[in-house]
Amino acid sequence: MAFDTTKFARDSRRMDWQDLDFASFRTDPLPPETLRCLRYMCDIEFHTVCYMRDMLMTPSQVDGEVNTFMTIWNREEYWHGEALAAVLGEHGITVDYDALKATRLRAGWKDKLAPVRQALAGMLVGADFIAVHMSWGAANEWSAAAAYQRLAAMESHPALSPLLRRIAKQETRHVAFYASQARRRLERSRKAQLLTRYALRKFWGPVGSGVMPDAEVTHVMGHLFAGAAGGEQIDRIDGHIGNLPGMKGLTILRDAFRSRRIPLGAH
Amino acid sequence: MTGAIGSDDAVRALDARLRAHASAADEVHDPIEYPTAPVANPQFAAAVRAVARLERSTIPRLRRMLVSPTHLDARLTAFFSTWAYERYWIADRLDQLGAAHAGDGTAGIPADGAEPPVDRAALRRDRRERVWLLGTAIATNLVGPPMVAVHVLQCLVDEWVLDEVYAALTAEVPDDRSAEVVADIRRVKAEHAEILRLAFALRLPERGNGRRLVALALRRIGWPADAGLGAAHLRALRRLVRGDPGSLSRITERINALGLGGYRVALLAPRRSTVLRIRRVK
Repeated sequence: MAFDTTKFARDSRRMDWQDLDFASFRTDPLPPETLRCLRYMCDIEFHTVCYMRDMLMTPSQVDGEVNTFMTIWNREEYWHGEALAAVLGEHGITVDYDALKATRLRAGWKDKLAPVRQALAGMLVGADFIAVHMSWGAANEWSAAAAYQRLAAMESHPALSPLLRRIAKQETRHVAFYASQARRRLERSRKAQLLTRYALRKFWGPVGSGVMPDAEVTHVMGHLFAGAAGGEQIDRIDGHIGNLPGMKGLTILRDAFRSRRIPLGAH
Repeated sequence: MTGAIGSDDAVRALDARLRAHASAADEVHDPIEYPTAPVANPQFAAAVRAVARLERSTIPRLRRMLVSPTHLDARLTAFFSTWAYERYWIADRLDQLGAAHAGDGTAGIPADGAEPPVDRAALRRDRRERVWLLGTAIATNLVGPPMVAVHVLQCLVDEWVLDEVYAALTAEVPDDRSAEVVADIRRVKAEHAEILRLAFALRLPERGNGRRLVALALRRIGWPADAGLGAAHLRALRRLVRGDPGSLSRITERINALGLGGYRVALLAPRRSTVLRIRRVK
């Protein structure tokens, strides 16, 4: 079913947490490994704008539907960052704009030249390059939604778990956009399928791996997707990606975990 | 070259304002209802549609800024999240005003709608711009922090001109309901301008080549920046800007209060692709 961007825009709300009992974090604080994951997730939500920038360097920018989605999506992700920053704040961890800037600066010229690479690839490949971005975005959003659901289930905290489920719910709507766009663009072009398959297999990494230090990526992914339940989630996401036209048999998450030596549960 | 370093208090004040602005963004976007059907006013409809096109050009503008060091500035990117969202809905409100007053449905400028169809000209323009952005991305990242001040300045001047444009719209708004809508938009725009003004003050280099670069960029500002405007859009905007003889001097005063020297805002001759230019006063 086609994604209704007008409805998405009209229904969009900033993430709300005022009704949740954040005082419970004082009596029932989160363990350090969870806080480390939340810090990672918070940073990534705030860095969404960098991914949006790369997306805007593809020919997709003239598409009004894409522009509408990007505008609303970027704001929702910003509010996910704010919500997670509020949780971290309850534990004495301050997420300020200067620290976020420092993370972006650490990426150096690799980050600065990313839009140049995207623009060149977009020019060489043409409109089919948008399919790569949409499929990539779908993989990222599936991963993000799964990560929030996993952490909500693992912690079972009266304030954190409902917050994470709310975030996951919004991420699921983002998945719907990316997956429907990817499917539509892949269905009509064999070239787009081949290119997307190559790009995902060769270059895709866990969400955040482009900006965060490797040690953080390994820790967070290992923590969130540990055990048999984590392994099942990974396989489920790989299954979703494999269901996109021309992507059958791809196991990019499992491959990415394996190449980073992150332990995985049952296959 | 270095960027300006603001006092901790000023930075904290800006952060608080950014968060308050993000929290206050209106999320209810019901269709505008009129007690009685508005009387057709094609001139007003054309004017609001031209302004809607400007407000809707946020994403291309963001693209130009985000390929530069501006994307590193997390304060600004946080602001842009809400700014783009609000501009999206402002364009929607203006489109509704245009539809309500167009009468015959054309008003000289057809409605864009939230998702205008993609034509060949738009694709060609986009491709040209992406080629240009390749060089821009490298050049601006070599220049570094002063480019952030340049981008904030461009946005700020745009908001100041738009403030005059909305004042002109207010003067010719044909009914009370539309007047309320324009007044609401002006409140949102005033906050955008104020945040940009505070952000600019913190980013303007105190001296040296960085400051000179910002001053040079100011002299190169043309309004409106390319938003894919047609001749009819430009005509409507020119009419709004020149409607009040005091509008150019008010924009000039604001620019001259930036501390970058003396300037004046000049109205260009019709048939040019820009309406206003900023000129240095020797």
